[in-house]
Amino acid sequence: MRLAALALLFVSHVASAQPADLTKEFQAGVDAFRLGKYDVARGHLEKARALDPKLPGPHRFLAAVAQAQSRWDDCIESAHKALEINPSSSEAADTRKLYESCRVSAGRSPARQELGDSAAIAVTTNVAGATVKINGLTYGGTPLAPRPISAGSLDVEIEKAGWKPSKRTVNAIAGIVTDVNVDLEADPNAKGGGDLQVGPTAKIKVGYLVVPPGSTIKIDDAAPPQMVGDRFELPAGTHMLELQQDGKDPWRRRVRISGGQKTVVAPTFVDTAERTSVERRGFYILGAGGVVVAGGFVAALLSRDAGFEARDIVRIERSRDPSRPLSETADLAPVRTREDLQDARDRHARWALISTGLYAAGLITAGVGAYFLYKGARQRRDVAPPFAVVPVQGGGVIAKELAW
Amino acid sequence: MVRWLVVIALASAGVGACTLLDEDPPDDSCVTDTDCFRAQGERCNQETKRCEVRVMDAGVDTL
Repeated sequence: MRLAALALLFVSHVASAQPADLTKEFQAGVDAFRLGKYDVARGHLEKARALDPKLPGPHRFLAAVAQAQSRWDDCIESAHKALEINPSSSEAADTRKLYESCRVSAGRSPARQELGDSAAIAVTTNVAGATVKINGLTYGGTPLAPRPISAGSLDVEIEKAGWKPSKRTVNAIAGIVTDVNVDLEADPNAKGGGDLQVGPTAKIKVGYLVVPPGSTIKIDDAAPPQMVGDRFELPAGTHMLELQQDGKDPWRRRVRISGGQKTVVAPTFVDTAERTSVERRGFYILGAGGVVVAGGFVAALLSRDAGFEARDIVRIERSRDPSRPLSETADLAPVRTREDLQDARDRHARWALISTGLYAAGLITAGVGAYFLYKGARQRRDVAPPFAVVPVQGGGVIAKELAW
Repeated sequence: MVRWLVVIALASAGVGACTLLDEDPPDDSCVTDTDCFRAQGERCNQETKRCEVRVMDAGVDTL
């Protein structure tokens, strides 16, 4: 509807400045498009485009016709041309939507964000993993998902060993993703062209592990294989490596061995005596903290008792019958004066203050002790943690298997 | 062992927190005479809102 309105405006605009044939063809194309006669519309609009290729209107309507006929590549090309001719057109926003809609319908990666004034470029090749350089900077390997970039002319270079490099210049337009699709040609002069073959390449299934000498070695909890030179030959994959030295903690790590590659490990051993000393120190400090907290607990009980005593004094003395002499009721409950009450209140406040102080000091001490204990007891291991982080929609959860 | 120490520390800290949150025992503030130690001669002074031992003036008939 909006495009139709645009067409009328456009027609009235070009009528005064453009040849009558152009106006006639464009109007006929728009009318046919509105009537759903897409082949007829296409014919007229292509003629209008031929008469003046620099007018964006025919391109825009040809894109709309192509979309209606599910000719996505034509739609993309025409909409891109329309935006290229006049990127600041009042219809540019709708044309960008049309363009992106056709891109997505054509199976291309959608723009992942609103681009605004910046452009984006997506690069695909007939061979995956080709290196993409834009204006001399490496941007990654193909297929390259839409990547925001400054609008304007861009020099795109595609390279891959064993294939002829390809270079082209593209005009990246603001607000849309400009697609670059390159078919690389095999380079017959390339050496070691194993990568050129179609189909899966042969995988190297063994790698090499180099460990410093002087340690007892276990690989996957078993004795290691015979060394070849200064290295072990291991199947590609992840292995559990354990190195041991006298007086040191075992050094355990998961090591990933890649096919055909050498992996060198450099263990940092922890002195067992030093670590256990830290652990013992932590235990003592934690124990001292516990004792201080226990003191705080006792003080809290004393404060609580003094509070109960004060409340008892008040309860008894308030209920004592004022019409009888004190000497008579003293047999039932000893007489307690205001001085007795104040003494109980003072003891309550004093022990409460002492309790608070001891608790604070005890908890701080226990925290320091727990830190040393953790630091000293920590085993230097690199094994899978006893929990898993599970991604869920909107975040993640930590899961742990329980067994009893 | 460490776990038990932590549990005991947390439990006693909890008890301590309860103690801290306790109300203070009542003092000599009052609203009516029944808030005072009446058997010991205290009455509520309505101006100061404190329990005080009232010193009785001698009665007219004692003259």
